[in-house]
Amino acid sequence: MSHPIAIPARSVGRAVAAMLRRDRWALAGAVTIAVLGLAAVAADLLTAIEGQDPYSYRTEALDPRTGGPAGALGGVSGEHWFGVEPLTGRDLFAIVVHGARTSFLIGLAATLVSVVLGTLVGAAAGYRGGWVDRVVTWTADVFLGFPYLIFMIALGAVVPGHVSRPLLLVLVIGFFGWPSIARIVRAQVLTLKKRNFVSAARILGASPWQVFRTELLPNLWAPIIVVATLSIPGNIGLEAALSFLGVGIPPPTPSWGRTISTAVDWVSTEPMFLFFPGIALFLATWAFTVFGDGLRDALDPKTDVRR
Amino acid sequence: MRALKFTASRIAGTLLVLLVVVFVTYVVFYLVPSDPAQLACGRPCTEQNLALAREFMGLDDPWWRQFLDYLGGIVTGRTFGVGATSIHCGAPCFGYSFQQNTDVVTLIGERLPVTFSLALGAAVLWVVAGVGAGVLAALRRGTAWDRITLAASVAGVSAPVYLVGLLGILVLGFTLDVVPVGGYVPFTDSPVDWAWHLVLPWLVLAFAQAALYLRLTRAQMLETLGEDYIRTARANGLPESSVIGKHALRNVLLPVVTVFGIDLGSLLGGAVITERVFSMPGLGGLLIDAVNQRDLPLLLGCTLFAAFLVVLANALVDLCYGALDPRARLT
Repeated sequence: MSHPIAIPARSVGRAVAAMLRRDRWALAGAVTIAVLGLAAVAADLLTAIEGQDPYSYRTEALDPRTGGPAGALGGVSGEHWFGVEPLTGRDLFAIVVHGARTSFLIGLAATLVSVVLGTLVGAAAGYRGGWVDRVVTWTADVFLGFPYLIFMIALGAVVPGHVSRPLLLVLVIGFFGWPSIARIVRAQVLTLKKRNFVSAARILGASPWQVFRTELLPNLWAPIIVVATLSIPGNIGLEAALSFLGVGIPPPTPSWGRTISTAVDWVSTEPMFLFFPGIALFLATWAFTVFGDGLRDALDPKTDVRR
Repeated sequence: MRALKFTASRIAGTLLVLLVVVFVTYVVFYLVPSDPAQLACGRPCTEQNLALAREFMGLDDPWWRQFLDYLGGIVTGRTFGVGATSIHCGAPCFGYSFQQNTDVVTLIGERLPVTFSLALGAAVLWVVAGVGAGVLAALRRGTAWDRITLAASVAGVSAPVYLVGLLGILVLGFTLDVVPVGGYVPFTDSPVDWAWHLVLPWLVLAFAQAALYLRLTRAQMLETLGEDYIRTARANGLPESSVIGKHALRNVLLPVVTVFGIDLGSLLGGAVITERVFSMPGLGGLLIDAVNQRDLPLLLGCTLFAAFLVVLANALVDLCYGALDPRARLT
C-alpha cells in the first residue's frame, strides 16, 4: 500500500535524529528498545549482580504447601528481584533478562534473513520485470495468505531432532517474512529503474548485479530499514508464540513465550509469574512497533498516520 | 461475459495455487525428514515390521508416484494395503493417521466446529469493531477519542493474543467472575452456552486484529475524505450520513477486504493459540498432539487442510472484491 519515497542513505541518520527530537512516541520506543537490548546484552552481568542464574532450582524459595513462590507478589525480594518460578524456584529476573537475549537474537536474526531474501527477490522482480516479476508477485501473494503458523508448528515435528531449534526458528520465521519486504523493494525498484542514473549505468554496460549494488541499493536503504524495523515485533511475537505452544525454544533455554505458557496454569494464584515475562514481551513488541511507525513517518512523509 | 471470464480465471488461479501448495508441502513433509514408516512402525520395530509398514503406506514407490497417489486420494479417495487388512480412506482423503487408525478428514471434522466457531465470530467482531472505530477516529480526527483509540491500537497491535487472553481470564474470569474461562459447548447442545463460553475467546482473538483494522480504516478514511468526489457529493447537498456511509465507506472497504483475505491465514494461527489459552478442543489441540506423537500423515493433512481453507476463502474474498470494485474485474 505504501510506497516510501527515495531518501539517500546518508540522510537516514539525520532523519532519525530529527524524528527522535520531534516524536515522543518514537523516542519512548527507542528508549525501551535500548533498555531491553542492554538487558539482553548484559544478562550475565545483571544476574551476577543479583547473584542468581536462570537454570538453578531453588526450592527453598518456594512455599512447600502450594508449590508456588514463598512470600507476597510471587516472591519478589532483594534476593529474587522478580520473584521465582513456581515448582522449580528458578529466578524469574534471570529468566526474563536471558529470555530477552533469546527473543532479540531470534527476532533480529530472522529479520536479517527475510531482509536479505526479500531485497534480492524484490529487486530482481522489479528490475527484470516480465515473467520473473509475475512469478515473484504471485509467490509473495500465496506466502502472505498462507497459514504459516500451522506450517511452522508441523515443521517443528518433522525436522530431525539434531537440527538446532534456534537456528530452525530463525530460518523458518525469516523465510516466511520475505514477501512483505520484497513487495516494498519491488515497488521502489520499479520507480528507480526509470531514473536516468540507472539507465546510464545500464547503457555503460553495468551488469544487473553492479546496477543493484551501486545504483539501486543506496536508494533502497530507507524503505528497507523501515519495513525491517516494522517486521521485528512480528518475528519476536512468532518465536514467543511457537515457544508458547511448546514447539519453539526447547527447555531449559529461557524463553518468554515458554514461561508465559507455564504461567497459564498459575494465572489464578500467581499472577506475578505472568506479569514479568508478559510485560517484557509486550514492551519489546510495542517498542519496535512505535519506533518503526515513527521511522516510517520520518522517512516517508506521505504515510504519516498521526497528523 | 466479462464477469464470467473474471470468475473463471480466478478459479483456475485458485486450482493452480492449491496444486503448488500440495506439492511443496508434500515434498517438505515426506521427503526431507525422517522416515514416516519408522515413526508409524511402533515398538518393537523389527526390520520385517518396518518393511511391511513401508509397503502398506506406499513408501516403497518412487516419490513422484507417492505424490500422485496422495493427489489422487484427495480427489477420489484411496485404499492402503490389499485384502482383508486394507484400509479405505474416502474422498477427499488428506491422508490416514496410522497411529489413531482414522482418516485425517474425520479427525479434523471432529475439531473443526470449535475452530470455526471461534474464528468466524472473532472475524465478524474485529471487522465491525475495527472499521467502526476507525471511521469514528477519522471523523473525530485530532480529538481525545482519536488519540486514545490510536494509542490503544498500537498497544493492541503489540500485545500477543495469549497475553490478552490471560489478562482477560484474570480480570473477567477470576476477579470479576462474569464469564467462563475455558471449555467449549457445541452449538447443537445449547446455543446460549456455546456463545457464552466463546465471548472471552472472541474478544481476545479479535482485539489485536481490530486494532490493525482501526489503523488501516482511519488512514484510508482520511485519504478518501480529501478526494474530489467527496467534495462534489457534499457540494451537491447530500446529507453527511450518506456521504460517509455510502460514498466514502465503499472506497474505505477496498483495502480492508484485501487485508482481510491476507489475514485469514493468521486468523487460523491466532485461533490455534487462543484455543490453547482457553483449553478448547479445536484444530490447534489436534495439531499439537500430532506434533508430540510425531504423527506425520496427520500433520501433513492438517497443514494442507488449513492451506486449502485459506486459499478457498481467499478466492471468495477475491470475488467479493470484484463485486465491490468494478475496476478489478477489468484485469
